[in-house]
Amino acid sequence: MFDLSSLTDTDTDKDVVRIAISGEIDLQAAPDFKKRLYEAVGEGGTDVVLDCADLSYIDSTGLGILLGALKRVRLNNHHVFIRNLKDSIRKLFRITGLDKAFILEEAQ
Amino acid sequence: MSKVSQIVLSIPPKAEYVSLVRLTVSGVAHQCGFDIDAIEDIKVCTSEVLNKAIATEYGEGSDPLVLTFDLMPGSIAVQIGGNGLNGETLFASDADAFALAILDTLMDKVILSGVGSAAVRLLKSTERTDADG
Repeated sequence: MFDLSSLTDTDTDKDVVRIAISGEIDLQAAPDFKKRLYEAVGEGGTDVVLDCADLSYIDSTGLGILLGALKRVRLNNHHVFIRNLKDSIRKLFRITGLDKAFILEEAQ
Repeated sequence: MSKVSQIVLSIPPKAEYVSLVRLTVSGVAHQCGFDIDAIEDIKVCTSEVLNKAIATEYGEGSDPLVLTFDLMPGSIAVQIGGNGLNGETLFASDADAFALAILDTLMDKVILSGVGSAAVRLLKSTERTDADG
């Protein structure tokens, strides 16, 4: 089970899509997660901030979906920032090299 | 627990049962004395194997996947087989690079064999923690 909520922040100089992800992203959740994440990211025309404070589990299927979203955003020369990763999940980003592809921010 | 105990779990090859396996892994790994980080590693790796086994649709797609947990003080072996699962071809695609990297890093040893009750064998001991750094 997972949840995803998003909003576009237009208060700053440039628009940012802020997405909060919670719960578990596994094989069962992957199709719905992919659909909702890609809807939230759209064509990738803005920076994206993923808040993962309440994300408790993600597998390689979920990491692949995040990478797909990153590719959309990078095509438009924007960035994906990931905040508040739990240590166990940060470790997966490091193992797969995704810590170099995304911009991982320390817990806030 | 002074000798090998064995627990066998059989699940339908469907994504909705992978979370049940993760819960089971938590319990059995705790019995072996693993800390919470190591338990998380074993959960992640077992799930990665099941994900691929289910997504690849070996066999007729309806025969169960069978997980055998050999529990010893300070170590665990997770064997996964059934439903025609072939460990030698399970992670053969380039798209499996993430999963393979995760398995190789988080487990002490990963043995991929042909079709059988131990098509994939995952080994981990409480004594090696260098992957946690």
